[in-house]
Amino acid sequence: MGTALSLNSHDRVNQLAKEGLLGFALPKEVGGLGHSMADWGQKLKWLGYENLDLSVPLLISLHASVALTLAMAKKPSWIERYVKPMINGHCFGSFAYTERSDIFSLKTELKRYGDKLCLNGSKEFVTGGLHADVFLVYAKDPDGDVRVVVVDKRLHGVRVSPVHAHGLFSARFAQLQFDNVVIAKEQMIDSIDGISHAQAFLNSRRVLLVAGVVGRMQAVLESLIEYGKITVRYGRYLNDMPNYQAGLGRLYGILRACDQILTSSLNRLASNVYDVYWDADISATKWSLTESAQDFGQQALRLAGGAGFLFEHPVACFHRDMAGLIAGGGAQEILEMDMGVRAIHIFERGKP
Amino acid sequence: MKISFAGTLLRFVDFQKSIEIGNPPTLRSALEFLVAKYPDIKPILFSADGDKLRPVHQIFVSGQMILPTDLDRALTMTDDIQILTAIAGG
Repeated sequence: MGTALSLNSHDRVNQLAKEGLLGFALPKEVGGLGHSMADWGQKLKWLGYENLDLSVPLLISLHASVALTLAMAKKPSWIERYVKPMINGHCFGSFAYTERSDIFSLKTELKRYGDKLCLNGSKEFVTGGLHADVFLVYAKDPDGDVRVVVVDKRLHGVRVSPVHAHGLFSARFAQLQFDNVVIAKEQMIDSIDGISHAQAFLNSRRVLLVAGVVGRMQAVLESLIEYGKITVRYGRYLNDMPNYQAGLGRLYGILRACDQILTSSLNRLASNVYDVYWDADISATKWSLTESAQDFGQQALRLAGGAGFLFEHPVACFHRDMAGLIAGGGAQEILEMDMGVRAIHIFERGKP
Repeated sequence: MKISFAGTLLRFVDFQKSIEIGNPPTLRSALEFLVAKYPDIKPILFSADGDKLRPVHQIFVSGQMILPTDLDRALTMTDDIQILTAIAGG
């Protein structure tokens, strides 16, 4: 059924680091293990299977994505200061993007004063924010350009407050406040504009985000089979009742289909032939697995009955954690709109 | 010749789905015509120095995707231009 682990504990991060997990898909040149994104996705699926709270693969994959971003910036000082400690579990990274606005209307500001930058504003919803030591922060400069800047939590003027969510209880969501935070200008990622950077970051995240979901689906299905083996209704074990068998069959069908979609999308990511900024197949994977997960959670609740509604039951955890995917990682409705625009573009010309 | 838009970019062109741009000789001149008419879209499409197209946008000329570095591509009178920008959150 999985272990209820919390990443509130640095011990767990250190344990995963010792297993080589945090640097699993990072380049060997920076101390990673150099595995492919496809293998990384399979590891995350396994983490989803092992952990009752889907926050674990969510946080670990986010942490690794931030580390990869910092490694790709090819700044030797960042490798030593951030990437290697992140691989070893001594530093945690997160992504501070979401405000009550779209990316074109960010209110967080970054101004330049000589060789320093000054950051003001706030980020409403930062996954792993309470746990993180360093953030990728997106802010507008006076020219209206969105910039990405790497911000240490310890800097004067950075305030981190907890945000309580409906599910994903170990994800340690936070709100960030920046009040005249002075940052060295070398902390800016200047190889690309912030809008393009954010979209590239989020694009690949969409597959990794749902990898753990498939593992969790399997764990939930196994828990229901175990439940059906020992639970008697009307003189028969649940597993011997055709309607219960059919319910398990529906869940198994969803699981297998989702696993195939995930594997295909992970291979696409690993092959480097996808569109870096917005890939229709990758978005469709996140969208499809999220929709399937909602259905899976509802069906599982029907099978588990009252037991499945209890707080720490795998079905209850799954049901509330999956709700986070409706809004997270590219809200479903926005992905639908983007995919719809793409469909019109493709099919109006009659050549898919 | 027309440039057409969808989704997130529409707000920067007064929600016009397509804009008539005459017969510019190159993609660059077509986009220059566009930003002259709708200045708000310039910082969205181009880098701060105004020279480089931001890579997040996909530009199609008569259905063929154009690299951001290929702004000097020649256009013909029968071409149409489409700009697609998919933006989603975290």
